[in-house]
Amino acid sequence: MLLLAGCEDPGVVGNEFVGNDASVVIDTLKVTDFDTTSFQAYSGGYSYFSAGQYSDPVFGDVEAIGLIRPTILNQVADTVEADAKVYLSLITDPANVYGDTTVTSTFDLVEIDAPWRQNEVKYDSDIPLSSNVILSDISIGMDDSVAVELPDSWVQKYRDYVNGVDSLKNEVYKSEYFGFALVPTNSSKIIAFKYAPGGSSTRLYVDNPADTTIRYQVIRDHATLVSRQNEPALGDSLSAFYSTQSRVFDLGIPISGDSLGSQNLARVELVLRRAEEQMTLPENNVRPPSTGYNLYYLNPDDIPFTLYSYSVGNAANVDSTDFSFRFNLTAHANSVLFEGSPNTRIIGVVKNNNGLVHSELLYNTQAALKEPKILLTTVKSGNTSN
Amino acid sequence: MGMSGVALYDDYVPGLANPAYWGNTVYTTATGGVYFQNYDARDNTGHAKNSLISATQFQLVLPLKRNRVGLSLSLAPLTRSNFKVVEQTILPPSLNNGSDTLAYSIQNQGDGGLNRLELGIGVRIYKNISIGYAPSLIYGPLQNNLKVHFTSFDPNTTYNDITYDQTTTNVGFGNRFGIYGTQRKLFGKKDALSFGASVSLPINLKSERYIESDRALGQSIKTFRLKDTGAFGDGDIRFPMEVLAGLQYEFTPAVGVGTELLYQNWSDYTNFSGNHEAYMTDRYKIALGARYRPFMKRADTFLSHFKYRIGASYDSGYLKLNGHQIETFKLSAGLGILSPRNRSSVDISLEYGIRGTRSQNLVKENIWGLRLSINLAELMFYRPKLQ
Repeated sequence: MLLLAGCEDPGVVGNEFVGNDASVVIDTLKVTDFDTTSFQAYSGGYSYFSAGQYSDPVFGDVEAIGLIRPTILNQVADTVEADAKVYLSLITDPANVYGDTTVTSTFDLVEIDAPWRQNEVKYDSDIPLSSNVILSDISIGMDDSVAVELPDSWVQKYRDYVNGVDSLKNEVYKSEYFGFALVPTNSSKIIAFKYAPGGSSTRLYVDNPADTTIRYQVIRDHATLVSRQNEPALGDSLSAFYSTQSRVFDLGIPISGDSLGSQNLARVELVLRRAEEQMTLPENNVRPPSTGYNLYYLNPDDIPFTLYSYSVGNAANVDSTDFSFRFNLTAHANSVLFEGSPNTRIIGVVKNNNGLVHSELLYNTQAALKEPKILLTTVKSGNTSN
Repeated sequence: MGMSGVALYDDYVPGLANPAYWGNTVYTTATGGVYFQNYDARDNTGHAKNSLISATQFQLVLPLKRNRVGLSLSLAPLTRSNFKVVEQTILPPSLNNGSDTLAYSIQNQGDGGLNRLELGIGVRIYKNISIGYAPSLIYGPLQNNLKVHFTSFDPNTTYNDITYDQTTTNVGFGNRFGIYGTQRKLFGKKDALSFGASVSLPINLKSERYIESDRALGQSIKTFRLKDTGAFGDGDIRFPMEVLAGLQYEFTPAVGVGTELLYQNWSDYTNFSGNHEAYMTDRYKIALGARYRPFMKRADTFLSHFKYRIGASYDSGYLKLNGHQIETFKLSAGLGILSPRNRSSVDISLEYGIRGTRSQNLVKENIWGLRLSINLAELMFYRPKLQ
């Protein structure tokens, strides 16, 4: 302790004696208001779309169907000759595979039977598929790209749209052709397909025999449908959460401004613990690497479509030593205390909603020692009631 | 002289220690000055220095009826507080519940104090006995500024620094009574023995305390008055009674010695929350002093243009910490430079004191002080009988 003092007697009058006037206090509060809820998140237009099937021993049987609709207007492939060959080039991301890496996944390419737009599709949307299977037994291992030749019957249909009257063809195409779905036919793994406009991306390419150059046709719409069944019963102390937002956590932070100490918030930290030891998988089975959680305010008037508009401005990645997620909620707490912010409830979402299927397992309020906690670092005055 | 001067009446320098001797006022007198102090504080782990400069009292004394009734108007500091405490702490992860070490420093800085605005009257009721009464308004804020700065060793963990200002405003009324008597020619033709005493009644201060703090909200910083259920708002502080008594013996008008005793019953003190502080203890102060005023001999040497004072004091203090009274020993010496035209003077005094102890990890201070005051003394509102 370094002391600098100069007290003209009797300086203590009206004040308490100096030196013990303030202290930093670190409190640990249990979060009791921790619940699970669900949203219907949008699934289209992201940097990935997924397709595959995997029986996760922790999170149940997950099926992902990839929806694809190529464009007909790309300038680099404005003509499809009668004898052209058209390929579907699938660019995958092996680092984000979800499932058994040793088993080859098989897919059918099935035409979609109803109009859809990528900005309207959610993971649980009901998009009907036709009985018209364009191509069967598309096999994908752990390669980073696969090109499958589309059958001539499909090429001719597509050719009619591409080569149609310029002023009408796009409207006709949009109203008549709804694209195709990549439907898994075996339970092995869920594959992440990349979509990056202008870059290495899933797309069509057209091989006109008279043309020495390969012409590409980009994807106009893409989205993912995800369904989950047979989820194993988790213990009372565990809760599962998914990046598809079919399960998110909803918590209330007890913030009281009754005392000075509770208003001098140096840090308000929410600590959640991943049940890492409960998330083990068989050998050669993997999940996409965790990317943590995002927090949002819950605005009851806008559920669920504007969830992203009310970010708490905070995210957390897992701590590799104790598998904790730590969120700094100081700004949120100060906003509630000093601005009377009505946003007192917080939604936690496994990040990121980018077309991949991330799953997380957390200890909930029933867990001893590892339950959700608030770490409060406050400055309390010796003069105060707290 | 290290003394308040409760029994020491000086025709040419106004005093605040005893309202009674204003009844002896002949000259219109006024005084004001500044006080500079330097502290060198040490405990068992470190040391620090601090300097303070503050105003002493401003006082005007008017003889409403010369050598019979005098009026005093003064503004003087009653208490002064000025401190800075810096405390540094390092918490390993096991103690801060974090993933890495957390360090923080708490700086508590305070200043302010109570002032006394006093209007008093002294009356000589008998040829050698005077009494006085001085009511006063006691007021003044005490301000604390607290800064807590955090340093996290984990770059992903940030803490908000906390700063707040605590202000306690006080107002109350004080009452002082005094008596002063002198007996001349006690043992010789020129000697005199004076006795003086004053009592300041307890002061009940009405206080208000509030805390303001800046908060960063979004992109802006706003100042908020913080709330608290118990420790803020209105409070009552009881400032204790003070008794001061002294004797002054003048061998001649030029040479005198004196002693005095101060008692303050701090055990009666209650703080803002209405509580008595366990570390407060009754205070006693005893002082001895001597003065030499060669000009009273009407000598015309170089040294006769000055006045000289020396004194020593022991102060038991009002704090008892870890079983130790925080005592102060002080020596002082002063020199007064007289005006060649009248009895006005510029007084300079130098003080050296030792306060506290390093036992029980307490703080010991070496104190140097320099006091400068200007004293004016004039015969005003006086109509000469011969013109």
